[in-house]
Amino acid sequence: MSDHKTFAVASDDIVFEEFDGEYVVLNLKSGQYFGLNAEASILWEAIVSGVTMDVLTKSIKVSNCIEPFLKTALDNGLLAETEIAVPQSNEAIIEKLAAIQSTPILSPYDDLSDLIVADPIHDVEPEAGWPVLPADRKV
Amino acid sequence: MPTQPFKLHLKNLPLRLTEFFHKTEPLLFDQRHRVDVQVSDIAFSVSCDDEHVKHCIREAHCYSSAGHQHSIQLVVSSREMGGVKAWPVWADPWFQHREVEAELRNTPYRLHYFPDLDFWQIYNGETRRGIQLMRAFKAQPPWEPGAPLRNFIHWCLLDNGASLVHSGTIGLNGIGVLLAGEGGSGKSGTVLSALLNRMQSVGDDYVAIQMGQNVTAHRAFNTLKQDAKGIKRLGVSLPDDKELNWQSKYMLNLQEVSQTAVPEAIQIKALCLPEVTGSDQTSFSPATAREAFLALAPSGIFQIPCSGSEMFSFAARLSRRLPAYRVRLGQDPSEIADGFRRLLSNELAH
Repeated sequence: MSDHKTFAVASDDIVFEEFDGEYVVLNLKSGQYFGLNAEASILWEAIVSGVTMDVLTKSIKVSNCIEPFLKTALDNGLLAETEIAVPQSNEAIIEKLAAIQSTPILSPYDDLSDLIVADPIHDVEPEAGWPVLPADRKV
Repeated sequence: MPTQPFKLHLKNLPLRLTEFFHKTEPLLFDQRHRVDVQVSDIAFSVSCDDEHVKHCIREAHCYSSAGHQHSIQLVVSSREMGGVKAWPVWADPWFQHREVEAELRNTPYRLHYFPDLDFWQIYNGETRRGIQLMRAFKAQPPWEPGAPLRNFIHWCLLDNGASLVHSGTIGLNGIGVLLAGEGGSGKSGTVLSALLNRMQSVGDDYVAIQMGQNVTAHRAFNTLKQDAKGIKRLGVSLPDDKELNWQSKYMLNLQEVSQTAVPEAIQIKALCLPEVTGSDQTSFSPATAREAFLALAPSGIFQIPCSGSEMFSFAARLSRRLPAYRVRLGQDPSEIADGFRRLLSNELAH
């Protein structure tokens, strides 16, 4: 990958929100939700703010963690390479990148796909009824 | 005059919708029947050509004598009644809600189309007018009679900084919590249990949320839903001939079930994520804003079209603003109600 590459949110279909330093990303087109751990959230923030690949690579001390993150984001249509972005070098975000000590993880919330196909109001044990949980879902 | 097809397609959709409103508005907004609905501070004046539609809307909604700040005009018209002169036809090979939502972004229009039944809901936020078209009264999506005009209500709320949120509510003396979670989490049964134990609610499914100085949940619908086993467990007596809805659930009236006066609104103090666990006692433990968001957002975004990004953002703001609790539900409905009563009287009292 070229060092000067930058990436951006792929389209208006991609929306994201931050909760105590961790992002949740939704691809509105596919309906799929993704969770980012704190490290991946820093990486996401840096990428969508226009930090270039060479700055990312130089800043992060954890080895071989950027490519897998990017591959997942690109494969799922969350990020796209951009040619017109103005490269940014934000000191605060670079400090955060440098402090990353473990692997950034970007993963889909597979369990939410069940929610989408289920009756969203009351799927409970069909025989016993509320408040009895279906046998296959008992804690 | 026979009904003429009016072609709509993704390309130039806003322009075509403008033309559609120009063509149909003068003919449609003066129907035989009228019914007024109020949600939060928005008053909806609904004109319809079918008495069944009027009855359905009147049953499911309420009209508050409180003042309103916004007025919306809606028309509900069916082809079988013969009053529709131009009927929309989707001219592209397929209809995808997300593509339509993206195309209509930054325009005053919102559009929902249910191709199976040729059911249309078109809203113009600039003129504050909406048109619902259906082939016949019975040709509605199965969820529509339980929550008629839901999409219009939601779109109007969004235009005014509020939103419908997919959650139940439980309150005590005007202070309450939202119940969010996936199907089977026990939201509706918990709401019904609370109502039967002299607590309050403004809904078990969708409520209108305003976020100002306080977070307030307003009643949007008068309906509650519960399956036969839940009804039996909770000891609710129903007429023998009461019909089941499309989910094999009974539709109940909030005011009829409630043992106290149903408030128009409840001030919301927390988000609760119920879980049916089989525990002996109902217990509460803190949850994160992210957990609350993931319980609150996905089903609403999936069920209400043409507003996904706005609902995502609204649910995030709401989740960050309120404290959240995981609720391990006990098995006895009155004990569950007591658990919520304690939460509202102690931790959330101030």
